[in-house]
Amino acid sequence: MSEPSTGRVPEIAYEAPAAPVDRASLLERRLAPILTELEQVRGEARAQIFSRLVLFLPLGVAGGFLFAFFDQKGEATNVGSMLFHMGMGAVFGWFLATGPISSRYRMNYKNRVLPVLAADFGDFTYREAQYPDFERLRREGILPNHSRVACEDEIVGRLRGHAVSIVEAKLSIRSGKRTREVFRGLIATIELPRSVNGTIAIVPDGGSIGNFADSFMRRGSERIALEDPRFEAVYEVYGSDQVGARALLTPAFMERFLAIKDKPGFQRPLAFVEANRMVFVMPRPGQLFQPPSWRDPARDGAALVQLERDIDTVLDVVDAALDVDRSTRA
Amino acid sequence: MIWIAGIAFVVVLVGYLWYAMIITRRNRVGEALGGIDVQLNQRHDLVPNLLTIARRFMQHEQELLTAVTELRTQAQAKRPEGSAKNIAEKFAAEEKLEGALGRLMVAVEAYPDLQSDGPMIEAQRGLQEVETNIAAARRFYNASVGELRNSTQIFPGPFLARLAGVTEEPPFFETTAETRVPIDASKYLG
Repeated sequence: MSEPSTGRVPEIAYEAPAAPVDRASLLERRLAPILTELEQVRGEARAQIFSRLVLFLPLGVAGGFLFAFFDQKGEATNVGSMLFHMGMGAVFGWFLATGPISSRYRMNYKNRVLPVLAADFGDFTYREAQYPDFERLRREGILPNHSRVACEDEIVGRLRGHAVSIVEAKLSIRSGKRTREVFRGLIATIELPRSVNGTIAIVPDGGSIGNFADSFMRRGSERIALEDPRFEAVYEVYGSDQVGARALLTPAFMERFLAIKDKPGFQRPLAFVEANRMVFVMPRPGQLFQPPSWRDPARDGAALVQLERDIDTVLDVVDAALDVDRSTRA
Repeated sequence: MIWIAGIAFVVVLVGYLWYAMIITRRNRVGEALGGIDVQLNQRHDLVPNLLTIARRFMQHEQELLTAVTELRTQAQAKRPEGSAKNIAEKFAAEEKLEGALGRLMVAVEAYPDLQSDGPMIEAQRGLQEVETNIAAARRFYNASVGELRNSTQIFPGPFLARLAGVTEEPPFFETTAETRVPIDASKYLG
C-alpha cells in the first residue's frame, strides 16, 4: 500500500458484519456445503458414540457396583451408596464413550467453519493454537504461576498492516489433589512497525510490599516510574531501558491502555513488549469459539452467529491494542 | 545501655542507607542527562542532512536555513558539566534549535515537491523518531531529578546531601514560555 505525501497511513479497520436480524440464515446458506458435510460427520459420530455407549455404560455401572460391593464388604448393604457409585460409574462410562469422538467432531467443525467466518473480517484465518511462550510471560509477571496450559483456538492474520495472532488460553495450577484455574482469556501477539529498545512488562500493581518484593526478584529490568497517577495506581512497569520504555509509554499510550479494561466482558489487560512484538494478555471469563455439540444439528444459524460474534470480539480487542500503539506515533 | 546502643545502630544504619540512596539518585540524574545527550547528538547529526535536502528546494528560505545551522552550532557547544546553570543553558539552547527545526518543518509544507521527495520523507521520519526518544529521555531525567530532590529535601536529606556532594539541585526540564502559549488556529487557517 503506497503512502500519501503527508506520510500518514490511511486507517483501514476491519468491517463488522451486517446486523444479525437474518444473519443466521445468511450464514447457513453461505456455509451450506460445509454444514452438509459436517452433518454427515455428525451422523457418523453419533453412530460411533451410541455403539460405544452400549459397551461403556453397562461397564461403568458394573464397575461402580463392584467398587461399592467391595467397599461395603463385611458391612450392612447401603443401597444409597451403591446407587451413587453405580451412577458415578455410568457418568464415567458416558465420558469414556463420548469424550474422544465429541472432541474430534468439535475440532473438525471449528477447522471447517471458523476459517471461512474469519476470512469475512479481512486477511484472517483460524487454526489450532500454536502456543505462545507461556514460561517467558510467567517469568515477566504477565501470567500467573501455572502447571497446566490449554489452548485450542487461534485467529491469525493482518489487521491494519500489522501481523496479529490471538490465542484463547486457559491456565491452571495443581495444588495437592486439586486443580484450580488461574487464568482464562486471550493472548494477542501484535507485530509493531518498529522495534523497542529492551523489554517492557506492564504488570498489576502489587501494593508497596508486593512491588518492593517484585523489584528484587527481577533480573535485568528495573522499575519505570511514570507520570500518570491513574496508571501508576493500577499498574507497575518494569523495563530494561528507561528511555526506550518511556518512548513507548507516552501519556496517550497510558490513557488508551487504561481504556481497554472498559471493554465489555474483559478484565484489566497486561502487556509485554520485546523487539517489535507486543503481547497483550486480556483476562476474560467464559469460553469463546464453542461449536454446537454432536447432539445438536450442525446446521445451526444461532451457533454460527455466536462464532462470528466471538471473532468480532477478539478482533475488537486487537483493534484497541493497535490504537494504543498508534497513540505513541500520532 | 543496650537500648541506647540499639537505637544508635538503627540511626546510623538509616543514615547510611539514606546517604547511599542520595548518591544512587545523584548518579541516576547524571545517567539521565547522558541519555538526553545521546539523543541530542543524534538530532545534531541529522540536521546537516536535512538542510542539504531542503536547500535544493527552498532557495527563498536562506535566513531560516542559516538560523538552524547557527543554532545547531550553539547547541553543540561544550559546556562544563555539573552545574545547574550550565544544564539550564544547554536545555535553553536545545529548545531554540527545536523551535527552528519546527519552523523549518512548517516551511517544508509550502513546497509540495520537497514534501514528497523520498529522501526528505526519510529524513523527517528519522527526525520524528529522534524527537520521540528525546522526549522520553527528558521524562526519565525529570523522574530522576524528582527522586533526587525528594531524597535531599525530606529530613534527614538536607544534612546528608552535603555529605553526598549534592550542593545544588539540578533543574527540571521545562519548556520555554513561548512554547506554552496556546496555538492560535486563525493564524494558520487564514
